[in-house]
Amino acid sequence: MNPQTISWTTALKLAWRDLRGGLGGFRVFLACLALGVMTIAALGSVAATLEAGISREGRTILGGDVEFGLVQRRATPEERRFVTEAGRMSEVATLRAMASSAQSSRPPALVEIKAVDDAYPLVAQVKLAGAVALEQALNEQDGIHGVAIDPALLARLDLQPGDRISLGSLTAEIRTTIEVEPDRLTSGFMVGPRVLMTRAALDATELVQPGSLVRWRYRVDLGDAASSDDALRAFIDGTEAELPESGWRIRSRMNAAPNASRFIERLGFFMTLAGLTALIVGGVGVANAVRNHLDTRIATIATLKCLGATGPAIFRIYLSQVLMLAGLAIVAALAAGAALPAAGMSILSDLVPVPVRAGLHPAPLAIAAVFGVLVTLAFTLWPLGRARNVPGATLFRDIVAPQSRRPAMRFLLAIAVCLAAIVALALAWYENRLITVYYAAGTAASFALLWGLSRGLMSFMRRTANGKRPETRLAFRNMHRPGTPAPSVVLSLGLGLALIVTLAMIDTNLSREMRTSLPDRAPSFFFLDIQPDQLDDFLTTVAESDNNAEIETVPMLRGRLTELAGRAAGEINAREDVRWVLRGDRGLTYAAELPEGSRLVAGEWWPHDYTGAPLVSMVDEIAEGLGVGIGDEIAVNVLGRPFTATIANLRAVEWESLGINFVMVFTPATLQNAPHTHLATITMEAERETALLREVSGRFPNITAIRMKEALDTIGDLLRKLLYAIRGVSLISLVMSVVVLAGALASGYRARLYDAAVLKSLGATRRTILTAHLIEYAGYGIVTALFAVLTGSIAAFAVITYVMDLPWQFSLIVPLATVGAATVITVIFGLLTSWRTLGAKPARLLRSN
Amino acid sequence: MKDPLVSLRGVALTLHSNAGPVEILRGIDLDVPAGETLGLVGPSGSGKSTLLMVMAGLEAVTAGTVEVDGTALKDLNEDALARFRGDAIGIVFQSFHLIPTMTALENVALPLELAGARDAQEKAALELDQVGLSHRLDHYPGQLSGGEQQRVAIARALVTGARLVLADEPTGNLDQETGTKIVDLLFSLHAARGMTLVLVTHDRDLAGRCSRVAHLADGRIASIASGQPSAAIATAS
Ligand SMILES: Nc1ncnc2c1ncn2[C@@H]1O[C@H](COP(=O)(O)OP(=O)(O)OP(=O)(O)O)[C@@H](O)[C@H]1O
Ligand SMILES: [Mg+2]
Repeated sequence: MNPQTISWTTALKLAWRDLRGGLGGFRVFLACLALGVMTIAALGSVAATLEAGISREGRTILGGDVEFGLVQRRATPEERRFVTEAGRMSEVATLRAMASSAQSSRPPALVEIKAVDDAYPLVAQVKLAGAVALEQALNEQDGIHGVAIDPALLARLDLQPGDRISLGSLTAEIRTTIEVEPDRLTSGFMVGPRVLMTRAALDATELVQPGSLVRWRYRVDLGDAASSDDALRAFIDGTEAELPESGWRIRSRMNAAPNASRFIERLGFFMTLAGLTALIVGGVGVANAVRNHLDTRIATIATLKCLGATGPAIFRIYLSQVLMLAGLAIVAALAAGAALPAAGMSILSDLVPVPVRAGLHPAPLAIAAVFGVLVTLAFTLWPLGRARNVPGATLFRDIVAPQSRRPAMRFLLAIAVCLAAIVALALAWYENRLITVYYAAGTAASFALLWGLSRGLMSFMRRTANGKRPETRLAFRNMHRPGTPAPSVVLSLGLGLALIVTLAMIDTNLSREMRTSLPDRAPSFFFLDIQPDQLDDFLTTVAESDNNAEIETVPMLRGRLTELAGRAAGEINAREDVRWVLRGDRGLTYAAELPEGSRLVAGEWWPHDYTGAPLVSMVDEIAEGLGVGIGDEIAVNVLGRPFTATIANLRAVEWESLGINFVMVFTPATLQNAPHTHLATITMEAERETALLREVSGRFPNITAIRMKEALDTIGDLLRKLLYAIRGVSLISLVMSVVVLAGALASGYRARLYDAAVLKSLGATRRTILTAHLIEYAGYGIVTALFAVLTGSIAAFAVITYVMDLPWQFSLIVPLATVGAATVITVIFGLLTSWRTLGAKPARLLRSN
Repeated sequence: MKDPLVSLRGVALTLHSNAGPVEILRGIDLDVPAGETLGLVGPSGSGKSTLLMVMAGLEAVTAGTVEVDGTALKDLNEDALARFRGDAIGIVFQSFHLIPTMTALENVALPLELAGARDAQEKAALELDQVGLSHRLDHYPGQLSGGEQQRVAIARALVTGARLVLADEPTGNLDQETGTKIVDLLFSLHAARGMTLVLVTHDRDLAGRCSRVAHLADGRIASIASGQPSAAIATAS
């Protein structure tokens, strides 16, 4: 007896022959799949290229094989001896300062000083404008130190090379500007432009005082001793054993820029989700294309059944056909996706300055390919599962009508498995599970909603189909007749538009928040590094400048959390959103009273004159995320000295008030005697800000000022770039929607052509038909847009209110624009299809049918 | 009389349409001996095509039993039926039903390929030679005349060595002259191979060439008469 099914080779052979009629309806299939997979592959490749850049150029970015970082203190002689003996060593100091110039009318600007020694840079080269040598740019000539600066500072202070610039007690000559600073990325997010100088020049600034926030970095080129990563790791382990007390932060070329890496990973993840959304939107087109194709193959399938093909054989033939074409689309998409990062790089190069090199990154390509296959299967198993049920008897009856039967249970199960695999892949790939789960739930809910909406629309049209005018009747009938494009149009366009609306609403809310709410609430300045003995003078200066200024000061120290409830910080498995608290130094403060802008949510605040055992107050969300609570003991390391305290209470804070907020507030007695500085926030009249800035930087050169406006501009700029990137990707979803839409409308072309011919022969004018089509398409557009506005607003509301904690305001422009755009798109594409219909001569068409 | 190849006992078929149940076959008892040629005639709608579908296992009966070549069809599930068809039954349709994207050779090789045969193409070429189409192997159905297409279909029905060939108005879409040629071909192949042939037709002459002719009316066999098989063979040779 014949085998149960046919071999895959035979299936593939028959599938191939079946395609001889041309790709026809598969064009939309190929376009949707290729576009979606390409998006994921390209975005993944961009991220991978950047990450590869960071890890390959780790030595360059770090400026050595290993770096020992200290905050607020230089290395002890013992530590120095250790690093000097380890290999070639370079000492680099960085700190923030105010720069001004007698030759400039502009207010002083916040800059990031970097003071280097002769050995700097150990790796790679600093490139200066005019090809000036570093030594030439920085050395002391005729008693004047030289500096090389970021070109942005020239513009900000309106200076030229050759002009003088003052930093603390130093007046230096700007010799040239910096073109490439190879180890820039290690400095992380910089609030001001760079000023490069020698150690001698730094001393001349007199800004390095006890308690001022100087970071000392000791980079070592270990030479042959660290030729392999293992050797390097062994060296680091050895160091920790040899100098366990030093508390320095050790970084190696293997994780030269952890923040940048994290940022890239996260951005890559969000972009991939956006790309996946595009692919899923395209899945609707894929499903349509396969369903339409199989409808044209009913006679073939029935014939095969009469010739001895079993259901499984039919399934194999058409599955291998779909997979063959999917393979084609995916391969093309991967090729394009791998080549595209060159273009995508220019978008990201502003955000992440990494030396990149073109290269093939298999991991993101593999992920894109797997997503492609899974989406293909998830969206085609339904029609494929139905096709195998086509009875051979069809041939005797000449009823070549589409079967509306549901496929067997195991196909529905297989579809569920594919969808679960898509979610699982996204989950496995990125540690922030919660976002992935929200994303999956949101997408699934949108799908279900849209599907219900299209059904509802169709049944509503069926019941109201007896409108008065013939055009309306015709339009309504078209919306619910078998094979109507309604579900596909609503699904594809609905998802794409909902995504756009969500992003646009978040966008408008953020921009409005930045624009309107700041002047009343936000302070004008943060002043940092106010020495205790300067505090009174500083306050008088501010009061003299504007006696209505609101001043708030808090003592501030920097320290690192080392232990929580008896466990080392490194071993804590903290929630993703609070992990930053454990990284590096945090600002610490102490207070007798509950700080303004805070609300006690658990425990008791300590008495005003408390002097007992050390206590600490923590922010409730953060304590929760770290897994500690009232009664637990925490330990912090401040300048190498350990402090322990018991958590006495938990506070809730309003971060967006932009006041001074600290994660940890200690009892005064605990930290009062440790060396510390003060932090002040000043809220004052805008027109006096410049005068105060000059005054303070003139009298207290060590105090740095962060101007709120400038800081927000910098952050806003970053945010805007991010939004552009994400918006760009969501635009791909919209393009995808349009492809799906065009495909869905085109597949109805035949039915429409026939209808139009019949209607014309019955006396309908072209105008009637055109009007009916117009009403139909506009109907799709409006219904879909209404859905998109509704779900998009809900999603944006959730993000703004719960994730970003900002006040929500509905904006009318986005919905209006969406409804307009959706209607225009559907009408234009619909009419493009109808146009050909109208030209058809009824006689010829009816005769051939 | 030899053992019947097809044996129908009390076969009834009721289909459900929108207008309610339709009794299409109402108690059919029929034996078709191996090697016989049976003509099915009757007015339009009398159930001829349906009876063929029942014999092919394409339609499940509501009551009664259908046995083909010793196999009770109701014991087989859908996939087993398909495999059984691939093995034992060949079907020829009024409108040919060749697969348009396959050449004549590929169409004929198809049932063999579905059955997993190795030398499908060689056998198919031989079969096409038998129907006189060895010069049309690589033509697509669209490039063949109606008569040629039906010859390809006959080759396809016979290539697996089917013991039962069912033909539903095989000349219905052809002109008189071509139709006669097709019938001649069918009968000469029958003479050479001795398979059982059940033929639905509206054509009295054609029916007359069968060894027996069954008259269907309103879902029942109204009468069975002997034809003139000798005359048929005479014309064919
Ligand atoms: N799916 C169905 N549902 C209900 N009734 C059906 C169905 N298929 C066929 N019929 C009816 O069954 C009856 C027999 O149909 P069948 O095709 O067997 O007739 P026939 O004898 O082959 O006719 P013709 O000579 O016109 O081909 C007809 O009355 C037909 O309307
Ligand atoms: Mg019939």
